[in-house]
Amino acid sequence: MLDPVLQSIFNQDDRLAVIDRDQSFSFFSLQRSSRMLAKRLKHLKLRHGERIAVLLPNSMHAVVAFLAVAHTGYSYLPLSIDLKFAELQSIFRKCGVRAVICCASTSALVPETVQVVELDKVLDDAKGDLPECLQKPDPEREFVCLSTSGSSGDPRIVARTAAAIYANLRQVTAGLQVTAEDRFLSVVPFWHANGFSNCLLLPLFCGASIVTMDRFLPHPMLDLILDKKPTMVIGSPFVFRALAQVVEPHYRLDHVRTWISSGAALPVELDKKLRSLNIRVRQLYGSSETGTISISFGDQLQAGSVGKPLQGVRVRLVDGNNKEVAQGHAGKIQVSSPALFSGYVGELGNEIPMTEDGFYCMEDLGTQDIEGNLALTGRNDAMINVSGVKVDPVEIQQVLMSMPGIAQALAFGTKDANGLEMIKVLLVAESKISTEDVLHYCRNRLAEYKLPRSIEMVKDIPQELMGKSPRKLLENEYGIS
Amino acid sequence: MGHVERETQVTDKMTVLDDIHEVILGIIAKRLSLEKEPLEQLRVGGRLDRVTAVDSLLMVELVLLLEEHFEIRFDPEHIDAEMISDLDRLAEFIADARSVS
Repeated sequence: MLDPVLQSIFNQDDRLAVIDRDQSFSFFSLQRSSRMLAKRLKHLKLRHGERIAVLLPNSMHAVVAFLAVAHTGYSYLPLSIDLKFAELQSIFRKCGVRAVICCASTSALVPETVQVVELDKVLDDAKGDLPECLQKPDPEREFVCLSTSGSSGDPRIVARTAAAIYANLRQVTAGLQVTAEDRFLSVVPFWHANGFSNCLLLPLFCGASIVTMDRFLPHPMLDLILDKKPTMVIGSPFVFRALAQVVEPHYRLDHVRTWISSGAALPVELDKKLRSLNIRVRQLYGSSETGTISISFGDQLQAGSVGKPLQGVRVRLVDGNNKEVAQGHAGKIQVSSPALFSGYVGELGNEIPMTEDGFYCMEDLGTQDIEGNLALTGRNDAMINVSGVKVDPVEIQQVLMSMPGIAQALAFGTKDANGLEMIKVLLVAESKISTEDVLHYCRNRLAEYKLPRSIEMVKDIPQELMGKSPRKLLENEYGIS
Repeated sequence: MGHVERETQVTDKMTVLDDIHEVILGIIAKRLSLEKEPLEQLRVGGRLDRVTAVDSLLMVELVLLLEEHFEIRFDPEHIDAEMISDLDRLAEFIADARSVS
């Protein structure tokens, strides 16, 4: 017997599952391909529950890779194809990864010590009988690991059990009223918590179909919306801002019943612009550690509003002494849910920010009204939000400080001309170093989305800024908002 | 085609490319609010990835701006960070796209 997640997926047979470019794939064909891949994975002689990394863009192949890993009882570790060799090595070491599923273009990133399974070749070469499902149901097994930013320079790997994943699936299915008639279009990458849970797993679980896009460009996305007629479109404020520039008021978009934005707060002026185009966006709030916490109803947007917590999710707001704040006052958000993670991989002994009564401590600040509607008001840390992906400034600083000739480095978020957060760095150099030198050095060590958009050479960086959240001082000195 | 006509055609194309190049520089400078030094580096070196991070977000923004300004559409199969970074290549692509449309 399969666990409920896979059982639901494998019950669908010939229904349409994935549209990838102009090709359509049924659930039956996905099952078949995933079983071929599962057969290959079993030959790797990994231990039950061991982690398999997946380095694929959003595609039919990425869906097959997930199903195969789940099918064989391994833990699924999706990773960004933008990560550089050093970043991947660090994650592989931390997670004990011995095998990766990838494609020809991403296989070059994999260290030699790790076994590579190129999905194209497996599906082309597969012969013989297909194995039956080999996985035993175990709700407490580690089902997935998701990479998220830490605050000390190293990315953190969030482990979640099958039970936690299933709990969140039920919560979000009820919250969005997803059915098998739905069709999802998402440009959120499947390695991102929202991408994995709500753009890959959720539609499969409900028997809905997925239209994949391996990367986002606004006109092609609009073409897909008009041609493939998805009922659910999921993106980030950046995606919706770009979409708002290409959508015309006369376009027929009423087949989309739900538009969802996640990853960062949707600006009020953007929400107004989208409404004028008949696009009413619902804001989804969650994290890798908690799964989805709340979804707004798409009513007129109040700044930072993210709706009421989903059924089964409890939220409270506390002050600096961990006491609940009075109604209407801002506080640090704490979340209790059956969907909570089980821990960070490779960090035994490190404290998980969890209270004694089982609430996870977010770094977000918010308020909650008398009806329970949550609104985000800020963050308690210095993370930089690059279009919904949290980037740890300490990680960038560490790379910069390792560059010969750099004496001091400070990385922080600042708003660009469109009001979106971007990365800026201040550098004190001991010798003549150009912007090009810095970018070249960083580009070999950091994924492109972690590279600084603005680099400023300065004579000195005040010591009080180093090692602390520099927001207040930087607002005055360097114009960040 | 005579020698003089070919030379004229080449010169015309170079003028068109130069004009497009200048427009691209102007759009980038305005969008990124580039300081004088990085803008000069860009003008001389011709590569955007030497003065800033060319991630997928910047790529999308520039694609939108360039598509709107030049009234063209980039083929997603052919546009990538390398093409956006190389201003000469970008100018050639835009010139070709305009001559087709």
